Amino acid sequence: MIIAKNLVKKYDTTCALKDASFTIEKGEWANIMGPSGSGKTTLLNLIGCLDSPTSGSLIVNGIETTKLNQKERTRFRRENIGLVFQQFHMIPHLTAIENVMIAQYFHSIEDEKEAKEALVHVGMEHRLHHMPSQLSGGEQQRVCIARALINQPQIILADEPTGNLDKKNEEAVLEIFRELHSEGRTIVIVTHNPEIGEIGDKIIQISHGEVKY
Amino acid sequence: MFARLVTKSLRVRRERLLISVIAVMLGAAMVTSLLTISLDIREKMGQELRSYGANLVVLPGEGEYINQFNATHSSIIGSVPFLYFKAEVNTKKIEFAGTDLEAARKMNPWWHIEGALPEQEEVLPGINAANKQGLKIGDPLNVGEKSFKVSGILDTGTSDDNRIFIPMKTAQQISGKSGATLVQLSVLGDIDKVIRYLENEGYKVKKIRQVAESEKALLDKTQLLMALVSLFVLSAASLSLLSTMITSVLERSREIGLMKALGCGNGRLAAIFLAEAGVMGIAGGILGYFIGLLLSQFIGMEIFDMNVSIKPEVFILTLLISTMVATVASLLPIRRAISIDPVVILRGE
Repeated sequence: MIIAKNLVKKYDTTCALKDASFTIEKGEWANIMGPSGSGKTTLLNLIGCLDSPTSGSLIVNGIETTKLNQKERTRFRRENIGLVFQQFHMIPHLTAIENVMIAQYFHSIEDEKEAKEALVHVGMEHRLHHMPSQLSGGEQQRVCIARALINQPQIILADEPTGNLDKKNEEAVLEIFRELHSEGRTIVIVTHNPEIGEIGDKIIQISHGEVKY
Repeated sequence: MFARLVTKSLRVRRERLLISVIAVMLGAAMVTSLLTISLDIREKMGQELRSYGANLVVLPGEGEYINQFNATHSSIIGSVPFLYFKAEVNTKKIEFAGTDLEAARKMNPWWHIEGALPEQEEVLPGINAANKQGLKIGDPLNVGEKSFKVSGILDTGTSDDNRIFIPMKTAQQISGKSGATLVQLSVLGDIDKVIRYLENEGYKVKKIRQVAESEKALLDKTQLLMALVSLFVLSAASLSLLSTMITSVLERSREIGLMKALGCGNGRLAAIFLAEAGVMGIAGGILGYFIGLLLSQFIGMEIFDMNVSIKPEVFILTLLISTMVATVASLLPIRRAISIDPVVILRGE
């Protein structure tokens, strides 16, 4: 469960997020939508403990994350959050399976068999030992989803996960998210795409840093 | 995974890795030769100094040779003339020493002779000369047109080990000289009085201790020079490593941000960079050690006329210093890597 109360994030004089309050229930699929520069990614960064708010309260999985220091935020993130990015972000000199195993390594201990299963789960069994440069955009995104899932996080945060994909790959990736949602995971997606907006349980609309939902 | 991360990251940046390793290698080579020369030659010089005691060396006052050494003083208890010259052996010029070998052995009691002293048609090579020429006791040796037999092998622990000793008469015949290059004196009593007496007689006199001391001064200066060069080379190596790693951090800021976003702690991130620096330090240290050994051998032979021995502690010290240089050079880049904000990843910057 994610509960935000009066969240404010300021960068110098710019207020990126103004008094944002909302709740996302456990197992819910919430889409954060709004125009460019409205504060969507800022909000996702705060939920993912990649950044800390200027003021306000944010409870994620029962923990008040605004009170965590940098080290505690890193630990919280690796134990509770799975991240999927628009630009995939894979380590270029590691193979697909190694890119999944690296998340295991940062979490606890790597397990090649488990990493392989995660890649099979996203339909990447034929590309285990390929380098990122040998993979298409859709394939890279599937590897990133496998990486985000490998440590069994309760919350999946995705920033425009289909933004760089063609229609076919977009559908494949959304299918994986649907499956994760049906397994009971909480999914928060930042998107411009109204089709994705229709899939979720809830839309958090942001405009000029203000949340409306 | 840690090893994979480090090795794969180094492999993709192998050109830069090579430059850093070469930089560390140069520093390590200087350190190795400095340490080897400091430890080994100083030790050998000390042995030479101790074994000589308070003896004197008499050199010709004028000209190249002492034709007849006839000085008499009550404090002089023994004198041995030496005639040094070069002669051709197997088309190579080899240094020879002609002397009264029986008397020379008495004056230099630490000489160790395997075999026997040479007779007229025999030679006694020093151990280094024998090794170089591949000579064993009983082997024939042609000097110019004359044939000799090896009667024994001489081990003095000094530069005399590089010479081939022969009886004085034979030496004078081969070289065509009638005198001696120098005369070693064994003096008992007031050595300065003997020096004054000999100088009045027209000779140049040196205390053997002075000879050794002047070599020691040369060693001190060589060591100082090498220490300075080592310091500069190590600083340059450290700067090269620093710039390589800073560039690496800048190039990899997205990768570092991603690792942090995935939950990589600062300690683990620092360990990855330290390991990369450590690999460069160790590789440079090992290569530098072997180059340094060659360099120290060259300096030992060219400047001090001595072979240097391999000392295992130098290897360990060189590796420690190289690794330390690499570690120090990586501190600033690591600080920079730790300060990278994972937020940049989601921003797509």
